Amino acid sequence: MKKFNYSIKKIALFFIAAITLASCVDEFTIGDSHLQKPPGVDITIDTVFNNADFAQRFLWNAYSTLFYGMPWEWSTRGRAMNMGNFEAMTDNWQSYLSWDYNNRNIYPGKYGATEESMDSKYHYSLEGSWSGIRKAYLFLENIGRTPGIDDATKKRLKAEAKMIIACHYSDMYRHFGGLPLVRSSYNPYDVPNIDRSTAKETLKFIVDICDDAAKDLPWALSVDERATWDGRFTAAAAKGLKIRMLLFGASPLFNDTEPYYTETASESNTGFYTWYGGKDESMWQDVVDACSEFFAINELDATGGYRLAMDGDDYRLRFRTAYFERGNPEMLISTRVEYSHSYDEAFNYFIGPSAVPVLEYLDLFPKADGTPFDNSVWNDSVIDPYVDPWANRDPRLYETCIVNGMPYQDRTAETWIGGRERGIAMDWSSYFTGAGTYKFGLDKKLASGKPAHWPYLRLAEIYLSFAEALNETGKTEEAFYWIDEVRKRVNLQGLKDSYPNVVWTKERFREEVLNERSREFGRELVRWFDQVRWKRAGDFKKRLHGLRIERMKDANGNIVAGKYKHFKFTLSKRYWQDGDNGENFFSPKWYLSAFPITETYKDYKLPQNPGW
Amino acid sequence: MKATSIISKALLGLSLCFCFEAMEAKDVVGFVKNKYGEPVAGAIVRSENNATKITFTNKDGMFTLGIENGERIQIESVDYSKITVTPTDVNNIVLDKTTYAVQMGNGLIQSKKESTASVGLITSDDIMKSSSMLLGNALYGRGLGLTTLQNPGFPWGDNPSVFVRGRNTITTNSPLVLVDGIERPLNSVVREEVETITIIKDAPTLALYGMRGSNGVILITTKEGIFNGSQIDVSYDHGFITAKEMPEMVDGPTYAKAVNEAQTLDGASMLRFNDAELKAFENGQFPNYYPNVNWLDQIFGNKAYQNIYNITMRGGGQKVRYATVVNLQNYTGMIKPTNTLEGKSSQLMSSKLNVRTNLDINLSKTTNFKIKVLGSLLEYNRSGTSETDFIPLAYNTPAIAMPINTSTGEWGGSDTWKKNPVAEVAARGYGKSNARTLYADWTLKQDMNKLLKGLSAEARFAFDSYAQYWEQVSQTYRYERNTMKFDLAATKPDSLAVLPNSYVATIFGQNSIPTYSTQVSSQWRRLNAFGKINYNRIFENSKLDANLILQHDQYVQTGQHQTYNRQSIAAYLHYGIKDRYFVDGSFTMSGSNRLQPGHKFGYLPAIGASWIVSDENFMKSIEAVDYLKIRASHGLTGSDYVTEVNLWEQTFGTGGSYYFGQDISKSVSGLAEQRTATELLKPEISTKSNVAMELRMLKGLELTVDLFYEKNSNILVSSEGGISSIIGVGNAYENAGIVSNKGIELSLSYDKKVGDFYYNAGANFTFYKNKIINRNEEFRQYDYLKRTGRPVGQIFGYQAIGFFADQTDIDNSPTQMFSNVMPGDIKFKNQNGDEVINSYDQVALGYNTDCPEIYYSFFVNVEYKGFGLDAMFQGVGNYTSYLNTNSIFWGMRNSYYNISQHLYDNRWTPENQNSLYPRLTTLENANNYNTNTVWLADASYLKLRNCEIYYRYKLNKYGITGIKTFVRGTDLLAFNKFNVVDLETYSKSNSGAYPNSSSINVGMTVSF
Repeated sequence: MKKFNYSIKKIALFFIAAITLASCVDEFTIGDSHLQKPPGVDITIDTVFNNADFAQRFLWNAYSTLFYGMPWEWSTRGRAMNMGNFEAMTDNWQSYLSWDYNNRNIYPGKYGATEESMDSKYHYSLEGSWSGIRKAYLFLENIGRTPGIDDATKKRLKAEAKMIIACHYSDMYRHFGGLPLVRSSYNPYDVPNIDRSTAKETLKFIVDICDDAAKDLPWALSVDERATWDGRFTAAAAKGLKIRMLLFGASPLFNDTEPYYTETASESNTGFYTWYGGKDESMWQDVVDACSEFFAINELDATGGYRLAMDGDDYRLRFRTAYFERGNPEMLISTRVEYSHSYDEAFNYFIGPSAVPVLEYLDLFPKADGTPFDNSVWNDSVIDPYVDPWANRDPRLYETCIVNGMPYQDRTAETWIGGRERGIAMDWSSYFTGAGTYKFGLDKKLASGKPAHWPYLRLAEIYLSFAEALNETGKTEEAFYWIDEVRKRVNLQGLKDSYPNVVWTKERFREEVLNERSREFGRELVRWFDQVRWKRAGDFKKRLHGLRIERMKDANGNIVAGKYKHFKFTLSKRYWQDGDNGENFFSPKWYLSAFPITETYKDYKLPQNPGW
Repeated sequence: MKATSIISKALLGLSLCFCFEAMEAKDVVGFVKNKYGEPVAGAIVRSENNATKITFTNKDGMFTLGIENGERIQIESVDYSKITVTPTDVNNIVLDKTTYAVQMGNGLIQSKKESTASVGLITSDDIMKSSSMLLGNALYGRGLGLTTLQNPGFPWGDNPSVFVRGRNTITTNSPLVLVDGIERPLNSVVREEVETITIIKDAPTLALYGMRGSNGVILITTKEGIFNGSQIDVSYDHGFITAKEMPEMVDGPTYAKAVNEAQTLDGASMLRFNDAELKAFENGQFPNYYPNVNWLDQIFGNKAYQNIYNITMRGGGQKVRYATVVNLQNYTGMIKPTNTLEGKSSQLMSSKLNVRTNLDINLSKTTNFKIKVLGSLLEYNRSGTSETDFIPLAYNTPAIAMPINTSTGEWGGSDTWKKNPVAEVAARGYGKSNARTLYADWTLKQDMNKLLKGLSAEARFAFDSYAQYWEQVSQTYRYERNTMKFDLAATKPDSLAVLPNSYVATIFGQNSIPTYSTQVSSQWRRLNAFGKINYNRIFENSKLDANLILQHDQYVQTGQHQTYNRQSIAAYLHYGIKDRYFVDGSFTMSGSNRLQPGHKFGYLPAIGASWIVSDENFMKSIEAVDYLKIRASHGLTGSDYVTEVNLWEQTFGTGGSYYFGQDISKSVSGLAEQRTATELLKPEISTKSNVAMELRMLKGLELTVDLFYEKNSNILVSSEGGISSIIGVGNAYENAGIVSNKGIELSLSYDKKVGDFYYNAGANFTFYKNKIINRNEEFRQYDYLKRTGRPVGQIFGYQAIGFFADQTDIDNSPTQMFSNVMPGDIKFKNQNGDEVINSYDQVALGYNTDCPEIYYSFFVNVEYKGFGLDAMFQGVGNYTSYLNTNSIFWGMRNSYYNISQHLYDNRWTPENQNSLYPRLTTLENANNYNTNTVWLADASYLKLRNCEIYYRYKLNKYGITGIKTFVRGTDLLAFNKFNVVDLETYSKSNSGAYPNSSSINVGMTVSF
């Protein structure tokens, strides 16, 4: 036994010696303590929400998920429809970007649930709405325990988080209809099977969040907050978003005597996910009430509230201020992804070929005094006697489109064949229809390096929504005021003066409101939803046109300065537009997006939208 | 720790039964022979229980040893045999492959006959038939069950890919590589240090490696000292290395024409080169402006050299044994432009010095101490531009890009191809790396016979460290860009007219002074502790080898979360009855810090059994059968692979910023959730079953057949496929993946010795087939798109059905949704019958590009009176390569890449519609350049890996005992299914590669 003890001692000594040699600084551990997690920094939810600064930074990050209507980088969200945009799906604009989603999928009619990808117009999950909603709920659920923030501030921050949820739902609602209503963040192992809710419930859910958030938000940012914090949600933003949703909800897409799509049976119809089950005219009154409430509060607000940007005498500049400038007096919701646009990258596609104005859109812009433009001039290629058709028009035309002969880059724009803008290319040009995009990009120099934002919701939309809802509730006379106010900004006469011979029926007025929205919100992604919510199949089906502009030559073949010939031509057919002999290809299924097919096969009830 | 107490109780119980023994000494005389009946001289003979009772066989194979009654005799010979016999069986002891002593790791050494395990064996003799500088490259075709695949490379880039029994999981399939029982990189030791390599493949032995065992183990054992004598081998090996099969690229005039052709087919209205310019390329009249340079020839010579100097000293006596290896290797590469800067060249060079000393010391009669130390110094040298940057340039820069030097002596430059490949190598300085390795482990073994007969204890500590340091001297160079214009009006077919004053030479960049920089590029250290209590007894009719094993391992790399801690406790029991029936039981509790708290440990039981049928009486009468064994095993092994560390934690970090404010360019930075927690993170478990037969007959024919089935479950896979998107976050994992793998391993050999004539031939063949049973796959529109049910790594892509002949063909075919197609673009098969070709038209194509399903080799060795020939062929089958190497296969695209002659000769043109490849294009062309059958090739090959002629000469003069000289060829012959370029070189990366090579080595070993 003695010998054994000696051996044991020797072994023990050896162990100790070896340990001492091998591990000088770190403690030598065995058992569970040896299997501790490896050294390194771990930021957990407690790290974030035990610190006032970190917790608020979590909310600022949630803001970054908000929808931005322009491409800005080659990322899933930043490249949108493969650098395209859904403005070019409307009857106002056409894309000439050969590889964008419009030209690859939408125009050829190849879209379907299986084609839902990161390039779709609004992807159910890749667009990041659910991610933004999760961030907001994580914030709502955890901010309560954060030290160093007073309760009033917490309330306000929470209301902002709620608005992030409302914004994402408002976007998805207009693309998909009824949605699963998420009321908290989830653990990945415990995701409840939240089924799709009806269109009506979803609408109520969004409106309720807006009302709830408005309670804890200031109506407008205080003067001293604006410079640093412009872009944060206000109560006006919440009430404004509510109006946008109520108007969409009251429109006939869902609110009608029959579902918008009846070609085949659809669970989406029978489950009321994309139809309310009937027509409820009182929903228009809800819009009117919400607008009245909005303007009542706005009137009384101590900061002066929001107003249309009408400063100065330069009408174009007034309009530019309204959509372009951060922190302008009518900006209700402004979203951001960068400080300023970089013109050599993604943004160039936005102001370039991804949406080119069509002739029908250009013709919508009246003359400078507000009287309508006579588009019969295009019946003949030669205007005789010659009057420049591009002169003396609604200032918003020049601010929205680059048209021939308008001042551009310290010269005049040349959108004629061979001109500096149009070039000679026979297809795929940013000026293919004879005009290009000015809005947001301006003449490139003017906007370069300027702070950029997306005008997600501005006061002019509330004005025009109010006008539309008043008209629908039979108060057309009251409605003129709200549309005329918007026209006044760019020095147009009121509607009645501009159209002296028109009898203003409800339908005629509705047309004019929708046209006014097209003029006011070109490239601001309003027209698509107007076409959809009013089920304007005719606008989908009609063929669109462009102009080939050529310089006029005299009998000797010499160019006549300042005069042009205009050749009206028909643009290539989109799948859903009528055939040359009037064949119908359109189906109302195009009004809403399809859910990605992989999502509909998951373990919860998400009935596919009708027709897909 | 429950396992500990059970085992100790069992040991105690056993000890009570067998602790009375009578002692009585007597002399035993015995004879040891090899399988050819020749006496084995110099074998160690000792008492099983008392290592100090030791003797050696004489030249007649005879020994005399005094032992006590009941003691067994252990015989060990230099050919790795180890056998224990009873004193009654000593008259005819035969050492052959069944007595082979197999290193099983964890201090377990078993004779092949007794083992129930499925192992592949590689001996020092095998790997010394290669002259490779890296140990891994000596393993092609060796070791049944090991798949070794060559990678392209320069001296430090051509580590082979290794797999044990193919692929059995979606995650990682890297086998665990151990040097002397401790995890160490395969190529840190050199061939000369290695005694044996064991490929461990089945459950009972793998389970002991706990959370590291699932992918198989490659166990390298280094040389130890020898008893009673000394041996010194001095050797020198010189290699003449020749680059092989460099692809040929088109010359300047052809490239220029090809650009115009591509643009024409793209529908461009203006062509890049006018007729005068094409002419200028053709006649080479203006080399400054219209150059024609073969860049591959300028960058790569076709000769390289290697030298290996080695001294191995082994010897010792009863107290101390030693083995020392001093090995110096150096390599000089085949880069042509090798300007020197401050005495340093920009050639690719490496030099490695390994010094190993293994000591084996008997501290007392019952205490043994071993210490093994390896110090290694490794240097690399290259140009200032790293090889990963300049090698692609050599392939991708077309002949017309720029002259090497302009007429004024400046480096040539270009707008499109900004980098001059020659200047990048010759004028950018140099880089040099120094790597230092120290491996040290020491083992103390205590015999405790006094306490309990057969009991011993062992403890081992290892401390390894490695650091690599780069120093770099960098320079920039200036270059000249020359342009000129032809007067097209005045140019006639036979004379080129140049526009006056159109020559323009512009200088860009500057020749900078050299700047020096340095960095530690990688470092790691490891602490390993190992303890074992062993109870080993032979009884009347049975024997027991019981082990209690403790492992503790810490591996620390640079960077946070890079510390891996693992530990395990295991019991390993080996029990034999009548030397015919053997059972193994292995019971392991293994834990890892990479797994979730509460789930850090996994229990891995495994059993094995074998039956030596040929020793049964009923088989004795069958003369032809010398040996027949049937064995089987079944059990669990584990893997602690995780995609990220601390996966069970929800983590947060910096997220996207937001741009508040009216006109402030500063954003407020955001914090965001980065990952949700993965719950119930468990180790990946592999259930492995193996049945096998080993047969020896006709005194030389040997056959081994192994059949196995393994099923890996708990594989970490994303849970996203099934979870509703409303969760709003990705990246959660589940232990839900399942992959099965089955296969057959065959080994057949025959050897015979007739007088002075000896020959030996054999073959190995393995076939593995795996299948994904579950991987939480997302919903797929069509069954043929499903990855589940297919092998791991199955290629999916489009089936090409030719090329579009013309516009009518395009109009009449389904629309292909990748990019606008033109005649000459690839036409794909419509798989689902709809109107378009999109991602739903992908199907499974070929096999995979990582690991072939079939791997085989065969060898022959003939020797007569010291003259010998040895050759080994190795091949693979069911293997696919992706031909996406830029310039060689994917040429011209984006007006940037070069084109190979092969591509040019086989391109589609309106005149050659039956081509191998589509038309040339200067655009991106997503239609042609995706995964499709045009770009897939059968990568099967058969290669003559080694072939040598040698001469062994025994003498006894000047202290020299023997000389061996040899001439050896490596990779001299290859038979490839796709024989345009060597796919082992050019399919592993898409950017060209340092050429693979053949080599002729001459060498000599002198033994003292």
